[in-house]
Amino acid sequence: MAARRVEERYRSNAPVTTVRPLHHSFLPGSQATNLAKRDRKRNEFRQFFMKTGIIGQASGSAYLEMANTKIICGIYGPRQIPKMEFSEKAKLQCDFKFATFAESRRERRKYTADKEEKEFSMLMVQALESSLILEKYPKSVIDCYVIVLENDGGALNGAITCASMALANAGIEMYDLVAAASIGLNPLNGEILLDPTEAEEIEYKKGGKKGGGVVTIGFMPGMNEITQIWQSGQIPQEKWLL
Amino acid sequence: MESFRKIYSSEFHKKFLAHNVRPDGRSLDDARNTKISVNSFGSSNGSAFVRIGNTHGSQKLGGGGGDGTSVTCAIVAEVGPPTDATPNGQIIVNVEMTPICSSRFRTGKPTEEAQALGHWLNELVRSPHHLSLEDMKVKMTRHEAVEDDEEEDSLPGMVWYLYADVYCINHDGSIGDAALIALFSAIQNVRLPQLVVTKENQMIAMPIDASSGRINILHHLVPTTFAIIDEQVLVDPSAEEEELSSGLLTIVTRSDGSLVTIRKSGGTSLDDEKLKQCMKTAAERCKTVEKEIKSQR
Repeated sequence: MAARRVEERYRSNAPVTTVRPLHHSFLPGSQATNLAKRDRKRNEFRQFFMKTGIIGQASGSAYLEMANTKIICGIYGPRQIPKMEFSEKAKLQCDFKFATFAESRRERRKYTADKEEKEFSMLMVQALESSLILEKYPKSVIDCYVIVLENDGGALNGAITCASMALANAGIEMYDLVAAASIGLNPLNGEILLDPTEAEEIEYKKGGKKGGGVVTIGFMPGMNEITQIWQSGQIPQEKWLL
Repeated sequence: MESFRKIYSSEFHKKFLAHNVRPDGRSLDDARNTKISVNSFGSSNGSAFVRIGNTHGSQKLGGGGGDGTSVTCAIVAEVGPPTDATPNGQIIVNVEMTPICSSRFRTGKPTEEAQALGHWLNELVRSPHHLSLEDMKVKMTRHEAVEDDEEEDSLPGMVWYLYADVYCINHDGSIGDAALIALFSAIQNVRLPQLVVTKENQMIAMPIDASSGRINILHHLVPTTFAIIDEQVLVDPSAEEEELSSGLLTIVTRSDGSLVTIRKSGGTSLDDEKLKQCMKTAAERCKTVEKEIKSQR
């Protein structure tokens, strides 16, 4: 409640409590989320679009689109650590944020970062830190800001890929680019599918008889090294030991 | 050259302004191009992306600016009961100047600039002279016909509350202009869905079709910002020019040619003649930008 009040104090609000109507896929008997039906192959990505250097004010920036998922990232730095503390290598700070209007299947996001967004920020730092040569920039901080303008699945892996491109665009020295992807385990038939959409992610995480979940992997293709694995939902042991 | 520009910013610009030209090649009364694209975000009820300057989208390696201002505005419609002050619902505008758009901003509470801009946009959008909110009653039906006749009329009269969030993506001057253009383009493209109420009293928005409601815009508002640098007036300043200026002047005109609001900040004065010239420029720009907004419907 206290957090809500701080959020409201600096912003305009409606005079009454309002409710967002649910997405039409929640209508009883709706066929909008049908796990059995998928219009692309199980190992097929959605269409990609990537562009760097779109924010002139930032030291580096990138934009990534995976079908309806739209992510923008800006890098500021390396710049001085504000509190003048000494450190031998640079500190990477990530700030992951969904735009308030980013998702259609849930209520509006808050203006301030919620716990899920804070977790994603932390996961981004973990995925990207080991790809950068941070020793080259002592006493400095690299700020990485990500806004997910629309989320249709794969927000975290998109953010990691996008941020890595933006870091390269900013000219920060690195060992390799990090490319991230997510896979989903379909609870209906136990099939593993690449690049699930938002509707699929929600259904997979609910799980079923055959498990169900989503795994995000950060990978450096040139070095053939994995920087991070993050799994949610439940995936049975035999699926892991493929 | 780049370092001279950064260290002696004022000297650098004055050398150009003495010849009535600006570092990016524009003359003093030349506004940047405006490009609008709408409904890019399917998760919202209506959205717009506005770019002022660099509309051909050329790339530039980071730092220094001069890359054009970009702003996005998306509207999410929520349902609530009407109040005495808002019998037809309301549009609620918030401006987010996130640290992504300029090194001047940090995470945390919104800056005064963002709050002031948000308040200004709210006042413009709530004025009954520009927008008509009469079509904002919610259309609701029951999902399955209820057998009880008593419950038939139990659906309460609700109205729409539209949350319009303006996200600043790149701050390269005249951010208020871009924000207001984005806001009106987004409002123009809002589609309000039909609602269906289930047995569990959940409201479900149906997909958009021909019967979905729109908001009636009576007049489009087009703002033009001017920067005052040493008695010279620059139309549509960039971030660098805004920083050097001793005052900013924003004139909002309406599509029918009338004046909506003038906002001038800073301590320098501006003589009659120049102000009239500015109003003329603003009225001219209004025509071109309005055409661009209307073409995006």
